[in-house]
Amino acid sequence: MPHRRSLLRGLAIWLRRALSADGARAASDTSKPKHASSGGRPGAQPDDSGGTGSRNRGNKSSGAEERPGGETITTPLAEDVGDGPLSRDLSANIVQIETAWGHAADLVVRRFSLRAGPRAALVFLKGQVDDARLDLSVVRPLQRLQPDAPAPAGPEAAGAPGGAAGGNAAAGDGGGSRATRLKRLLEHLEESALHTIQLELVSSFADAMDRVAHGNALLLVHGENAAIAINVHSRPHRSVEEPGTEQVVRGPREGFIEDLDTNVSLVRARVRHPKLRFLSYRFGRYSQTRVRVLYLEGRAPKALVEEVKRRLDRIQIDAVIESSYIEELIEDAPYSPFPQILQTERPDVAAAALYEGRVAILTDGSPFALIAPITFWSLLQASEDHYQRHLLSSLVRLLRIVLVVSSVTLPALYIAAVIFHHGMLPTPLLITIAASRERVPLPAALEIFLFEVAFEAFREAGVRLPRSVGQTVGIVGGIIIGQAAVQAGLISAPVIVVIALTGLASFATPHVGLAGAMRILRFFLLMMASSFGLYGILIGGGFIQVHLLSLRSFGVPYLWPLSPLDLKAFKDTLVRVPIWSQETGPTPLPEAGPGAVEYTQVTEQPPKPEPPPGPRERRVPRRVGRRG
Amino acid sequence: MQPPVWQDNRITPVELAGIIIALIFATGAVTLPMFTGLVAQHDGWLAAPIGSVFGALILAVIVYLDRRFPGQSLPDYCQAVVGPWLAKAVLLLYAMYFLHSAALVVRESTDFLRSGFYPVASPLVLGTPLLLLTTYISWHGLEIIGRTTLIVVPVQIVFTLIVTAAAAAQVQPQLILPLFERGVVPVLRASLIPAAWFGEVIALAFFFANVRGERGRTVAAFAGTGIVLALIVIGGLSAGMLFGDQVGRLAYPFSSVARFVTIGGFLRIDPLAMAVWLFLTVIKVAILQHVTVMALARLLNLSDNRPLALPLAGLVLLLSDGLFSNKQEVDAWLLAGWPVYSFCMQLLLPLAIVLVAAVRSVRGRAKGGAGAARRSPG
Repeated sequence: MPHRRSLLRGLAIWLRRALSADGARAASDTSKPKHASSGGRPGAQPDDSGGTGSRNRGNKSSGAEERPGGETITTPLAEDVGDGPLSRDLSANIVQIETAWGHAADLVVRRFSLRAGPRAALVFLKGQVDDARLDLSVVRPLQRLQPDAPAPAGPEAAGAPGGAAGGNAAAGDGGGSRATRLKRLLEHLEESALHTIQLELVSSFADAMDRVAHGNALLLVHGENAAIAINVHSRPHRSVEEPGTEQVVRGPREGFIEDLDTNVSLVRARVRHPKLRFLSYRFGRYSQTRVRVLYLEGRAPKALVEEVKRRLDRIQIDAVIESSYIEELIEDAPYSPFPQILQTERPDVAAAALYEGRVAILTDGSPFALIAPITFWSLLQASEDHYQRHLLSSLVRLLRIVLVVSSVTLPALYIAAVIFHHGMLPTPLLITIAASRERVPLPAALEIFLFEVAFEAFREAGVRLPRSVGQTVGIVGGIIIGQAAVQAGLISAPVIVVIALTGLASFATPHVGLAGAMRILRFFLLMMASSFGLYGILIGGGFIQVHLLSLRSFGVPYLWPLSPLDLKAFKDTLVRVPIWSQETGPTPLPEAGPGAVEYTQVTEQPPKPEPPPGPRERRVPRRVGRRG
Repeated sequence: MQPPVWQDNRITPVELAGIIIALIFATGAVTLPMFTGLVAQHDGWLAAPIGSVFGALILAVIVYLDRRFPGQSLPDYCQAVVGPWLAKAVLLLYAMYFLHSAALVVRESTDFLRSGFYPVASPLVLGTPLLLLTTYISWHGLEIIGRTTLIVVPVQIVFTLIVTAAAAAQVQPQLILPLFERGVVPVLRASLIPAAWFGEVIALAFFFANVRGERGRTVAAFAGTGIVLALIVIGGLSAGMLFGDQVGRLAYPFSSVARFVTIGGFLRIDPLAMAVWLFLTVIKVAILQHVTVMALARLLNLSDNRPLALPLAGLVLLLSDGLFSNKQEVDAWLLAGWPVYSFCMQLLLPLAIVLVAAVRSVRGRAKGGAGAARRSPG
């Protein structure tokens, strides 16, 4: 079943929800629950009992669910666990929950009796909740709970304005007093517990399961067809460390970690302004991964934010393990070797991107934030460029361009000169090369190709191995691509020099994504050069150039401001001019509007690939399949 | 400065100037001094300024047609002027002309490559990557052509100037003296060849309306022609001052000039000169291919002209190899047949359209009307 979703449809669902005065749901995801906020219209709902449930069933086919709190859930849990309402019977609820979770090893169900009388149960996932906070905020207040005086049921059951609308919706007809009881329980918990803890009333089974899955503790009370979700979630994660990639000599040493909330707070610490805006998403049918899109209102062009929203809304996937999944699903040209979205482990880079009017996408479980749109030049910049003296930074940037170009063309140029254009080289150099090539049995093109492959092999071997073994690889590599190979007559010395220089140049590329593209293109140019010489390099380079020219990242031309030429934007591109001479701090992206950049996927470029058709199970990433 | 605009398949006036430079200079840079030298000996460099008048004339016709039919290109207003059937004939003629022209340019490139660098390579093999690249460029449309041009052309200009400046140390100015040694007639005769080159600007008739800025594009068109004239004169002068009357015997005089230059007495740059010049050729072929495809698509009433690009590239490749059996034939054709052929297609046909339009008093609709909406595709 193709789960096609559209923004319009999601909007319609949201509107229907909002108009149907579902107070309990409206309270979700706000820092303080406001269950009685919406002006309830009890008379407007003819089938009040189980109303929420029937609405949910109606949504089932539409897929995407947008909760009023702002989080868009692309594949709600309701599709899998069924979305009937919670039962009034505590045991029935517990049985249903345990069946739904298949008696999972980490599912904890604690039954107890409230001092007030009714039986109750606490359901949570072990390891996903903070035990101390659960104890402090739930268990102790429940113990302190006094046996209740009978509830003042009269006015609330009559639906006083601004009264228990949420309770009505949740509890159904005739259950006014009971709903009030749960509500009073909620208020009690709220008053007695720490105020930072988020409480909410959930009435549908799917919602309840959703909260449990996200580390909430679920308080079920017998006789109630709703439950209280207590957000005490806490997941094991490492502490904030210096990022492994993108290291700096001068500059902040904090790096993103796998925990989304920590990452958001790291960015917030650098953008302390109410204009920092969020878009909340949850992707993945099984992973239910939380994703936050950050942008600075006023700096980020509106069209850009709309475009990001549009592309994210189209995502439907079974699991998002890393932010790279998102990257691959929303980039403009999926078949290009060049990354069109920047990944960074550094909160300062993300914050700077926000000031420049870009958008940062943070994914739970990934220490890599995505930044879009970017240009080719973004990939040539290190964060340190802005922390060093500007003259040095400018020089280093120019050097990087030379290095990147030479990391692609150097082997190809060597081949072209040795095979085709002897005339290009001065005679003594030519003789030296010829002399060292005399003992080598391989043709020059094959020689350099084989040893480029060997070099890549060493790099690949070194990356995955544990550090202690990695040293051995270095030694072995040094022997093979080194003097020994020359003495054995397998390779000529100039080739080693060329390969070593190429490797060095490619290590100087500040971003891994660009280095990867260069590795691919190096072999492409090598092939062209060994068949056509300099002419081949020219044609290959032409292909690369035209590809770069036609590439766009979220509508921004990849080589902007070089092409289309925009001299004003050059201040922080090839060189970095001092901060005081940049007019308004970092260069904002061109504002969209008539006659400016359109932040849309270009028609010439293939659209984001739709998920392949077929049974949904085939779309489970293999890693997930193996684990589960 | 206006905010940069992109994505609507239009180009800026500066890019237009670049395209004109690429169109004329691509083939003119390396071989032109040879042809003019063949006819007018050391007075060859004088032929280019005379020939450029021809180019300016064609530009004037294009600009006039553009003013008369605002927002429309030749395929658009052609039908209104001469009627549907004759319009198809005109489009077919242009498609063939540009096809022919592209084949000729490819042929010159492969000849150049074979003579200087790859003596045993088959012209078909040499031409294939070139045409694949041009197809890729023209497939992306006018905007990418324009932006590619704006990166390549400045490099070419700077390179040309550097080479001439570096070779300037060895020039012998007396080699081009006395001027008009054999009278004016050889120079006039020689000017027919650059005239045909300058006339390549007729390709503009197909996309002049896609250039931004009413005044800007007119100025840019003439400025581009002026720049290219200066470049050709500089190249011709340096070749003339280095080789004198021998220019006509060198197959590629400007390439020979580049051989005088080394970087630090160490690296020779003539392969580099080849590379830079070839990229200009790539752009020229891409433009011609794009224009041909536009004409053909209009002829066949296709809404998307991209599927035609690759088959056309194959045709260009085959024609480039099959039309002539050796370089001598190419040169003979360029000297004798090409100027006449070009004269008809570049000046007579557009002039005829202007005349018919004037006689029948056909005018384009005002901007924003149906005429503007039917802007040429591609």
